[in-house]
Amino acid sequence: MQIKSLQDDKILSMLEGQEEYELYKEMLYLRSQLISPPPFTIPFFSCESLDKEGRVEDKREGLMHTWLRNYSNMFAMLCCGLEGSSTTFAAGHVNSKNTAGVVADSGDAIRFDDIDGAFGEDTVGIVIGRGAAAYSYEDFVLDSLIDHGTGANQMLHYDMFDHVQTWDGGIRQWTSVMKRYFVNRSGGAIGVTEAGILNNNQILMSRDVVSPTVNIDNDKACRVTYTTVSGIWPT
Amino acid sequence: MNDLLKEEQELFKYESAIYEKMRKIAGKLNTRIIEPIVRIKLVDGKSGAVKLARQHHSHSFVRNMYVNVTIAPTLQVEGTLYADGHLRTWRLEDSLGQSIIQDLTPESLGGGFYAAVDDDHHGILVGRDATAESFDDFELGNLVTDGSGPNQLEYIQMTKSESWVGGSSYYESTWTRALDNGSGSPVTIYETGLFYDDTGISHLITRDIDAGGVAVPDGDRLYVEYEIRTSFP
Repeated sequence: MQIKSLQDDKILSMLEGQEEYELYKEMLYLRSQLISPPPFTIPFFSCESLDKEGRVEDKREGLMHTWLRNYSNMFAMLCCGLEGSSTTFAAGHVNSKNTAGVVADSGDAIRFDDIDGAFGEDTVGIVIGRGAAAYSYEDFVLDSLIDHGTGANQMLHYDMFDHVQTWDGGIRQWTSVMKRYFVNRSGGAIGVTEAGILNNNQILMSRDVVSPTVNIDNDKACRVTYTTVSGIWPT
Repeated sequence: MNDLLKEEQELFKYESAIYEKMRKIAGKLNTRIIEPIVRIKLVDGKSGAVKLARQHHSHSFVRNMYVNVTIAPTLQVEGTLYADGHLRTWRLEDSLGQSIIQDLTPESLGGGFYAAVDDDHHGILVGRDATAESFDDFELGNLVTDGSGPNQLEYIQMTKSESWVGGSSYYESTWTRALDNGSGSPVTIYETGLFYDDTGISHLITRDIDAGGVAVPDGDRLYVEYEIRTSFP
Protein backbone atom coordinates (compact mmCIF):
# COMPACT_ATOMS: atom_id res chain seq x y z
CA MET A 1 0.00 0.00 0.00
CA GLN A 2 1.30 3.44 -0.94
CA ILE A 3 1.05 6.81 0.75
CA LYS A 4 1.09 9.98 -1.34
CA SER A 5 3.57 12.85 -0.96
CA LEU A 6 3.77 14.15 2.57
CA GLN A 7 4.24 17.73 1.35
CA ASP A 8 0.55 17.92 0.45
CA ASP A 9 -0.69 16.83 3.86
CA LYS A 10 -3.52 19.18 4.87
CA ILE A 11 -2.66 18.89 8.56
CA LEU A 12 0.77 20.39 7.89
CA SER A 13 -0.79 23.56 6.50
CA MET A 14 -3.27 23.74 9.39
CA LEU A 15 -0.42 23.53 11.89
CA GLU A 16 1.73 26.12 10.17
CA GLY A 17 2.94 28.69 12.69
CA GLN A 18 2.06 26.48 15.64
CA GLU A 19 4.54 24.79 17.95
CA GLU A 20 3.28 21.36 16.93
CA TYR A 21 4.28 21.85 13.27
CA GLU A 22 7.75 20.32 13.62
CA LEU A 23 6.41 17.51 15.77
CA TYR A 24 3.88 16.59 13.14
CA LYS A 25 6.54 16.70 10.44
CA GLU A 26 8.57 14.27 12.49
CA MET A 27 5.59 11.99 12.89
CA LEU A 28 4.99 12.07 9.14
CA TYR A 29 8.59 11.11 8.53
CA LEU A 30 8.35 8.23 10.98
CA ARG A 31 5.06 7.09 9.46
CA SER A 32 6.68 7.08 6.03
CA GLN A 33 9.28 4.61 7.31
CA LEU A 34 6.64 1.98 8.03
CA ILE A 35 5.68 -0.53 5.37
CA SER A 36 2.01 -0.01 6.17
CA PRO A 37 1.25 3.17 8.13
CA PRO A 38 -1.63 2.99 10.60
CA PRO A 39 -4.71 5.22 10.35
CA PHE A 40 -5.03 8.25 12.62
CA THR A 41 -6.82 11.59 12.88
CA ILE A 42 -5.75 14.98 14.23
CA PRO A 43 -8.41 17.18 15.91
CA PHE A 44 -8.63 20.99 15.84
CA PHE A 45 -10.82 23.33 17.86
CA SER A 46 -12.12 26.88 17.63
CA CYS A 47 -14.39 29.06 19.74
CA GLU A 48 -15.64 32.34 18.27
CA SER A 49 -17.89 35.19 19.24
CA LEU A 50 -20.12 36.49 16.43
CA ASP A 51 -21.99 39.75 16.07
CA LYS A 52 -25.60 39.94 14.89
CA GLU A 53 -24.50 39.79 11.25
CA GLY A 54 -22.42 36.68 11.86
CA ARG A 55 -19.07 38.48 11.69
CA VAL A 56 -16.32 37.09 13.89
CA GLU A 57 -15.43 39.45 16.73
CA ASP A 58 -13.11 37.23 18.72
CA LYS A 59 -11.61 33.80 18.21
CA ARG A 60 -9.53 31.08 19.89
CA GLU A 61 -8.30 28.29 17.67
CA GLY A 62 -5.64 25.66 17.28
CA LEU A 63 -4.85 22.03 17.79
CA MET A 64 -7.28 20.36 20.17
CA HIS A 65 -5.18 18.90 22.98
CA THR A 66 -7.92 17.45 24.98
CA TRP A 67 -9.26 14.05 24.11
CA LEU A 68 -9.98 12.77 27.59
CA ARG A 69 -9.36 9.39 29.19
CA ASN A 70 -12.89 8.47 28.14
CA TYR A 71 -11.97 8.84 24.48
CA SER A 72 -8.61 7.09 24.83
CA ASN A 73 -10.25 4.16 26.58
CA MET A 74 -13.08 3.75 24.11
CA PHE A 75 -10.68 4.01 21.19
CA ALA A 76 -8.49 1.30 22.68
CA MET A 77 -11.53 -0.89 23.33
CA LEU A 78 -12.65 -0.43 19.75
CA CYS A 79 -9.29 -1.25 18.19
CA CYS A 80 -8.36 -4.05 20.57
CA GLY A 81 -11.80 -5.71 20.60
CA LEU A 82 -12.28 -5.30 24.34
CA GLU A 83 -15.03 -4.64 26.84
CA GLY A 84 -14.54 -2.66 30.04
CA SER A 85 -11.75 -4.15 32.12
CA SER A 86 -12.75 -2.86 35.58
CA THR A 87 -14.58 -0.05 37.36
CA THR A 88 -11.34 1.77 38.11
CA PHE A 89 -11.15 4.89 35.97
CA ALA A 90 -7.37 5.26 35.81
CA ALA A 91 -4.26 4.24 33.88
CA GLY A 92 -4.12 0.53 33.21
CA HIS A 93 -7.87 0.09 32.84
CA VAL A 94 -10.22 0.59 29.91
CA ASN A 95 -13.82 1.70 30.46
CA SER A 96 -15.82 4.92 30.36
CA LYS A 97 -17.26 7.32 32.92
CA ASN A 98 -20.49 9.17 32.22
CA THR A 99 -21.41 12.67 33.33
CA ALA A 100 -23.09 11.25 36.44
CA GLY A 101 -19.73 9.83 37.48
CA VAL A 102 -20.74 6.23 36.87
CA VAL A 103 -17.95 4.04 35.47
CA ALA A 104 -19.13 1.29 33.16
CA ASP A 105 -18.95 -2.08 34.88
CA SER A 106 -16.37 -4.63 33.96
CA GLY A 107 -17.63 -6.41 30.87
CA ASP A 108 -19.58 -3.40 29.71
CA ALA A 109 -19.61 -2.32 26.09
CA ILE A 110 -17.78 0.39 24.24
CA ARG A 111 -19.86 3.55 24.46
CA PHE A 112 -19.03 5.45 21.29
CA ASP A 113 -22.31 6.89 20.05
CA ASP A 114 -23.84 9.57 17.88
CA ILE A 115 -23.39 13.22 18.76
CA ASP A 116 -26.76 14.70 17.94
CA GLY A 117 -27.38 17.83 19.98
CA ALA A 118 -30.83 19.01 18.87
CA PHE A 119 -32.12 22.51 19.62
CA GLY A 120 -32.52 22.96 23.35
CA GLU A 121 -30.40 19.99 24.35
CA ASP A 122 -27.62 21.07 26.66
CA THR A 123 -26.50 17.62 27.76
CA VAL A 124 -25.51 16.18 24.39
CA GLY A 125 -23.45 17.39 21.46
CA ILE A 126 -21.01 20.27 21.63
CA VAL A 127 -21.45 21.92 25.01
CA ILE A 128 -19.94 25.03 26.59
CA GLY A 129 -19.29 26.22 30.11
CA ARG A 130 -18.17 29.01 32.43
CA GLY A 131 -15.94 27.01 34.77
CA ALA A 132 -12.44 28.03 35.77
CA ALA A 133 -11.01 24.58 36.44
CA ALA A 134 -7.81 23.71 34.60
CA TYR A 135 -7.94 20.89 32.07
CA SER A 136 -7.45 17.41 33.43
CA TYR A 137 -7.16 14.23 31.37
CA GLU A 138 -9.53 12.64 33.91
CA ASP A 139 -12.35 15.15 33.36
CA PHE A 140 -15.78 13.65 32.72
CA VAL A 141 -17.96 16.77 33.04
CA LEU A 142 -17.54 20.45 32.25
CA ASP A 143 -16.66 22.48 35.32
CA SER A 144 -19.75 24.70 35.00
CA LEU A 145 -22.09 23.85 32.14
CA ILE A 146 -24.00 26.71 30.48
CA ASP A 147 -27.63 25.61 30.41
CA HIS A 148 -30.03 26.12 27.53
CA GLY A 149 -32.34 29.09 28.07
CA THR A 150 -32.65 32.82 28.27
CA GLY A 151 -32.13 33.26 32.01
CA ALA A 152 -29.03 34.57 33.69
CA ASN A 153 -25.88 32.83 32.41
CA GLN A 154 -27.91 30.71 30.00
CA MET A 155 -27.62 30.55 26.23
CA LEU A 156 -29.82 29.07 23.53
CA HIS A 157 -28.33 25.82 22.22
CA TYR A 158 -28.97 25.39 18.51
CA ASP A 159 -29.25 22.18 16.52
CA MET A 160 -25.93 20.67 15.43
CA PHE A 161 -27.08 20.56 11.81
CA ASP A 162 -23.77 21.51 10.37
CA HIS A 163 -21.79 18.26 10.55
CA VAL A 164 -19.93 17.88 7.27
CA GLN A 165 -17.40 15.26 6.15
CA THR A 166 -15.46 15.86 2.95
CA TRP A 167 -13.02 13.72 1.01
CA ASP A 168 -10.11 15.29 -0.82
CA GLY A 169 -9.30 12.69 -3.45
CA GLY A 170 -6.14 14.47 -4.56
CA ILE A 171 -4.49 14.33 -1.16
CA ARG A 172 -6.55 11.35 0.04
CA GLN A 173 -7.63 12.88 3.33
CA TRP A 174 -10.95 13.18 5.16
CA THR A 175 -12.00 16.36 6.96
CA SER A 176 -14.86 16.22 9.42
CA VAL A 177 -16.39 19.43 10.76
CA MET A 178 -18.84 19.67 13.67
CA LYS A 179 -20.27 23.03 14.64
CA ARG A 180 -22.75 24.37 17.11
CA TYR A 181 -24.15 27.84 17.63
CA PHE A 182 -25.13 29.29 20.99
CA VAL A 183 -27.06 32.56 21.19
CA ASN A 184 -27.03 34.79 24.21
CA ARG A 185 -30.48 36.22 25.06
CA SER A 186 -29.83 36.34 28.79
CA GLY A 187 -29.72 40.11 29.01
CA GLY A 188 -26.06 40.20 30.07
CA ALA A 189 -22.62 39.19 28.85
CA ILE A 190 -21.47 35.59 29.36
CA GLY A 191 -17.85 34.51 29.37
CA VAL A 192 -17.20 31.14 27.70
CA THR A 193 -14.20 29.45 29.29
CA GLU A 194 -14.62 25.79 28.33
CA ALA A 195 -16.15 23.57 25.67
CA GLY A 196 -16.53 19.85 25.15
CA ILE A 197 -18.05 17.03 23.14
CA LEU A 198 -20.71 14.93 24.85
CA ASN A 199 -22.01 11.90 22.98
CA ASN A 200 -25.51 10.43 23.23
CA ASN A 201 -24.31 8.02 25.90
CA GLN A 202 -23.51 10.96 28.16
CA ILE A 203 -19.80 10.41 27.78
CA LEU A 204 -17.68 13.56 27.71
CA MET A 205 -14.94 12.81 25.19
CA SER A 206 -13.10 16.15 25.14
CA ARG A 207 -12.82 19.27 27.26
CA ASP A 208 -11.10 22.37 25.95
CA VAL A 209 -10.24 25.29 28.18
CA VAL A 210 -10.94 28.53 26.29
CA SER A 211 -8.25 31.00 27.27
CA PRO A 212 -8.42 33.92 27.32
CA THR A 213 -12.18 33.88 27.87
CA VAL A 214 -14.40 34.49 24.83
CA ASN A 215 -17.06 36.97 25.94
CA ILE A 216 -20.48 36.75 24.34
CA ASP A 217 -22.51 39.93 24.75
CA ASN A 218 -26.27 39.87 24.94
CA ASP A 219 -27.92 39.23 21.54
CA LYS A 220 -24.67 37.87 20.13
CA ALA A 221 -23.62 34.29 19.35
CA CYS A 222 -20.90 31.82 20.11
CA ARG A 223 -19.78 29.30 17.49
CA VAL A 224 -17.75 26.27 18.54
CA THR A 225 -16.15 24.14 15.81
CA TYR A 226 -14.37 20.82 16.00
CA THR A 227 -12.45 19.82 12.86
CA THR A 228 -10.89 16.40 12.55
CA VAL A 229 -8.51 15.65 9.70
CA SER A 230 -7.35 12.15 8.86
CA GLY A 231 -3.79 11.22 8.03
CA ILE A 232 -3.30 10.54 4.33
CA TRP A 233 -5.02 7.30 3.32
CA PRO A 234 -3.14 4.65 1.36
CA THR A 235 -4.00 3.65 -2.18
CA MET B 1 18.71 -18.86 11.45
CA ASN B 2 18.27 -18.26 7.74
CA ASP B 3 18.80 -14.86 6.12
CA LEU B 4 15.10 -14.31 5.50
CA LEU B 5 14.21 -14.85 9.14
CA LYS B 6 17.03 -12.63 10.28
CA GLU B 7 15.89 -9.90 7.94
CA GLU B 8 12.33 -10.22 9.25
CA GLN B 9 13.53 -9.89 12.83
CA GLU B 10 15.58 -6.82 12.03
CA LEU B 11 12.62 -5.24 10.30
CA PHE B 12 10.46 -5.99 13.34
CA LYS B 13 12.93 -4.27 15.65
CA TYR B 14 13.21 -1.30 13.31
CA GLU B 15 9.45 -0.85 12.98
CA SER B 16 8.93 -1.36 16.73
CA ALA B 17 11.33 1.51 17.42
CA ILE B 18 9.45 3.72 14.96
CA TYR B 19 6.13 2.94 16.63
CA GLU B 20 7.65 3.75 20.02
CA LYS B 21 8.74 7.18 18.78
CA MET B 22 5.39 7.79 17.11
CA ARG B 23 3.53 7.04 20.34
CA LYS B 24 5.52 9.72 22.17
CA ILE B 25 4.77 12.32 19.51
CA ALA B 26 1.14 11.23 19.14
CA GLY B 27 0.43 12.12 22.76
CA LYS B 28 1.49 15.71 22.14
CA LEU B 29 -0.56 15.88 18.94
CA ASN B 30 -3.61 14.42 20.66
CA THR B 31 -3.90 11.49 18.33
CA ARG B 32 -3.69 7.75 18.94
CA ILE B 33 -1.43 5.23 17.22
CA ILE B 34 -2.43 1.62 16.55
CA GLU B 35 0.38 -0.91 16.26
CA PRO B 36 -0.63 -4.33 14.90
CA ILE B 37 1.68 -7.35 15.20
CA VAL B 38 1.28 -10.84 13.71
CA ARG B 39 2.95 -13.93 15.15
CA ILE B 40 3.00 -17.37 13.62
CA LYS B 41 4.17 -20.49 15.41
CA LEU B 42 4.26 -24.04 14.12
CA VAL B 43 4.29 -26.79 16.74
CA ASP B 44 5.01 -30.48 16.26
CA GLY B 45 1.85 -32.42 16.99
CA LYS B 46 3.65 -35.25 18.76
CA SER B 47 6.54 -33.71 20.66
CA GLY B 48 5.19 -30.20 21.14
CA ALA B 49 8.46 -28.80 19.84
CA VAL B 50 8.32 -25.41 18.19
CA LYS B 51 9.34 -25.86 14.56
CA LEU B 52 8.91 -22.26 13.48
CA ALA B 53 8.27 -18.95 15.28
CA ARG B 54 7.98 -15.69 13.45
CA GLN B 55 6.69 -12.19 14.13
CA HIS B 56 6.28 -9.06 12.08
CA HIS B 57 4.08 -6.00 11.98
CA SER B 58 0.81 -6.41 10.20
CA HIS B 59 1.29 -4.58 6.94
CA SER B 60 -2.18 -4.23 5.67
CA PHE B 61 -4.92 -2.52 7.62
CA VAL B 62 -7.68 -2.50 5.03
CA ARG B 63 -10.21 0.24 4.25
CA ASN B 64 -12.56 -1.08 6.98
CA MET B 65 -10.05 -0.13 9.67
CA TYR B 66 -9.42 3.31 8.18
CA VAL B 67 -13.16 3.97 8.07
CA ASN B 68 -13.56 2.81 11.65
CA VAL B 69 -10.84 5.08 12.99
CA THR B 70 -12.09 8.06 11.00
CA ILE B 71 -15.71 7.85 12.12
CA ALA B 72 -15.12 6.61 15.67
CA PRO B 73 -15.74 9.95 17.45
CA THR B 74 -19.09 10.65 15.79
CA LEU B 75 -20.29 7.40 14.14
CA GLN B 76 -21.26 9.43 11.07
CA VAL B 77 -21.04 7.46 7.83
CA GLU B 78 -20.87 8.93 4.34
CA GLY B 79 -21.91 7.55 0.96
CA THR B 80 -22.93 4.08 -0.09
CA LEU B 81 -19.76 2.40 -1.33
CA TYR B 82 -16.63 0.71 -0.01
CA ALA B 83 -14.49 3.10 -2.02
CA ASP B 84 -12.70 6.44 -2.02
CA GLY B 85 -14.97 9.33 -1.09
CA HIS B 86 -17.23 7.14 1.04
CA LEU B 87 -17.04 6.28 4.72
CA ARG B 88 -18.71 2.89 4.80
CA THR B 89 -17.50 -0.51 5.94
CA TRP B 90 -17.85 -3.72 3.95
CA ARG B 91 -18.92 -7.08 5.33
CA LEU B 92 -17.42 -10.48 4.68
CA GLU B 93 -20.86 -11.39 3.36
CA ASP B 94 -20.14 -8.98 0.47
CA SER B 95 -22.54 -6.24 1.42
CA LEU B 96 -22.42 -2.70 2.72
CA GLY B 97 -21.78 -2.15 6.42
CA GLN B 98 -24.25 0.07 8.23
CA SER B 99 -21.99 2.07 10.50
CA ILE B 100 -18.92 1.74 12.64
CA ILE B 101 -17.72 -1.79 13.36
CA GLN B 102 -18.32 -1.79 17.09
CA ASP B 103 -19.73 -4.86 18.76
CA LEU B 104 -21.56 -4.24 22.02
CA THR B 105 -20.15 -7.40 23.60
CA PRO B 106 -16.84 -7.99 21.84
CA GLU B 107 -15.60 -10.43 24.46
CA SER B 108 -18.60 -12.72 24.20
CA LEU B 109 -17.97 -15.81 22.13
CA GLY B 110 -18.79 -14.94 18.53
CA GLY B 111 -18.45 -11.18 19.09
CA GLY B 112 -15.53 -8.88 18.26
CA PHE B 113 -12.43 -10.95 17.48
CA TYR B 114 -13.56 -13.82 19.72
CA ALA B 115 -14.42 -16.88 17.59
CA ALA B 116 -15.54 -20.31 18.79
CA VAL B 117 -14.21 -23.75 17.90
CA ASP B 118 -15.02 -24.78 14.30
CA ASP B 119 -15.89 -21.17 13.42
CA ASP B 120 -14.20 -20.34 10.11
CA HIS B 121 -16.15 -17.11 9.63
CA HIS B 122 -14.92 -14.90 12.49
CA GLY B 123 -11.78 -13.96 14.38
CA ILE B 124 -8.44 -15.07 12.99
CA LEU B 125 -8.76 -16.96 9.71
CA VAL B 126 -6.13 -18.35 7.34
CA GLY B 127 -6.01 -18.93 3.61
CA ARG B 128 -4.03 -20.34 0.72
CA ASP B 129 -3.98 -17.38 -1.67
CA ALA B 130 -0.71 -15.44 -2.09
CA THR B 131 -2.22 -12.52 -4.01
CA ALA B 132 -0.76 -9.28 -2.67
CA GLU B 133 -2.71 -7.34 -0.06
CA SER B 134 -5.06 -4.65 -1.30
CA PHE B 135 -6.41 -1.69 0.63
CA ASP B 136 -9.88 -2.74 -0.55
CA ASP B 137 -9.70 -6.35 0.62
CA PHE B 138 -12.71 -7.51 2.62
CA GLU B 139 -12.09 -11.27 2.57
CA LEU B 140 -9.25 -13.76 2.23
CA GLY B 141 -8.39 -14.85 -1.28
CA ASN B 142 -8.80 -18.56 -0.62
CA LEU B 143 -10.13 -19.35 2.84
CA VAL B 144 -9.04 -22.57 4.52
CA THR B 145 -12.29 -23.94 5.87
CA ASP B 146 -12.77 -25.84 9.10
CA GLY B 147 -12.50 -29.60 8.91
CA SER B 148 -10.19 -32.53 8.34
CA GLY B 149 -10.62 -32.92 4.60
CA PRO B 150 -8.07 -31.96 1.94
CA ASN B 151 -6.72 -28.42 2.48
CA GLN B 152 -8.78 -27.96 5.61
CA LEU B 153 -7.65 -27.17 9.16
CA GLU B 154 -9.50 -27.55 12.41
CA TYR B 155 -10.19 -24.15 13.95
CA ILE B 156 -9.81 -24.11 17.74
CA GLN B 157 -11.55 -21.57 19.99
CA MET B 158 -9.61 -18.34 20.26
CA THR B 159 -7.96 -17.06 23.41
CA LYS B 160 -7.32 -13.51 24.54
CA SER B 161 -5.03 -11.64 26.89
CA GLU B 162 -4.85 -7.93 27.56
CA SER B 163 -2.47 -5.69 29.46
CA TRP B 164 -1.41 -2.14 30.11
CA VAL B 165 2.23 -1.39 29.30
CA GLY B 166 2.73 1.82 31.24
CA GLY B 167 6.38 2.26 30.30
CA SER B 168 5.48 2.53 26.64
CA SER B 169 2.04 4.07 27.16
CA TYR B 170 -0.06 1.55 25.33
CA TYR B 171 -2.90 -0.87 26.06
CA GLU B 172 -2.75 -4.12 24.17
CA SER B 173 -4.88 -7.13 23.43
CA THR B 174 -3.48 -10.36 22.04
CA TRP B 175 -5.81 -12.74 20.22
CA THR B 176 -4.57 -16.24 19.43
CA ARG B 177 -5.98 -19.02 17.32
CA ALA B 178 -4.74 -22.56 17.08
CA LEU B 179 -5.38 -24.61 13.92
CA ASP B 180 -4.80 -28.35 13.77
CA ASN B 181 -4.01 -30.21 10.60
CA GLY B 182 -5.85 -33.53 10.55
CA SER B 183 -6.27 -33.58 6.79
CA GLY B 184 -3.72 -36.29 6.13
CA SER B 185 -1.54 -34.01 3.99
CA PRO B 186 0.42 -30.77 4.46
CA VAL B 187 -1.56 -27.54 4.11
CA THR B 188 0.40 -24.43 3.11
CA ILE B 189 -0.81 -21.11 4.46
CA TYR B 190 -0.08 -17.92 2.52
CA GLU B 191 -2.48 -15.45 4.09
CA THR B 192 -3.88 -14.62 7.51
CA GLY B 193 -6.68 -12.23 8.37
CA LEU B 194 -8.22 -10.67 11.44
CA PHE B 195 -12.00 -10.31 11.33
CA TYR B 196 -14.17 -8.32 13.74
CA ASP B 197 -17.72 -9.50 14.30
CA ASP B 198 -20.35 -6.85 14.84
CA THR B 199 -23.70 -8.38 15.82
CA GLY B 200 -23.18 -11.49 13.74
CA ILE B 201 -21.56 -9.76 10.79
CA SER B 202 -17.86 -10.36 10.12
CA HIS B 203 -15.58 -7.58 8.84
CA LEU B 204 -11.97 -7.91 7.70
CA ILE B 205 -9.64 -5.54 9.57
CA THR B 206 -6.25 -6.62 8.29
CA ARG B 207 -4.97 -9.19 5.79
CA ASP B 208 -1.36 -10.32 5.77
CA ILE B 209 0.47 -12.24 3.10
CA ASP B 210 3.41 -14.55 3.60
CA ALA B 211 4.66 -15.01 0.06
CA GLY B 212 6.85 -17.95 1.01
CA GLY B 213 4.03 -19.75 2.75
CA VAL B 214 4.03 -21.76 5.95
CA ALA B 215 3.60 -25.49 5.36
CA VAL B 216 1.66 -27.16 8.17
CA PRO B 217 2.41 -30.91 8.13
CA ASP B 218 -0.34 -33.37 8.90
CA GLY B 219 -0.69 -33.76 12.66
CA ASP B 220 0.92 -30.44 13.50
CA ARG B 221 -0.62 -27.34 15.05
CA LEU B 222 -0.35 -23.79 13.73
CA TYR B 223 -0.79 -20.80 16.05
CA VAL B 224 -1.67 -17.41 14.57
CA GLU B 225 -1.63 -14.45 16.92
CA TYR B 226 -2.56 -10.79 16.45
CA GLU B 227 -1.46 -8.26 19.04
CA ILE B 228 -2.96 -4.78 18.78
CA ARG B 229 -1.38 -1.93 20.74
CA THR B 230 -3.22 1.36 21.12
CA SER B 231 -1.33 4.38 22.41
CA PHE B 232 -2.28 6.59 25.33
CA PRO B 233 -0.96 10.13 25.95
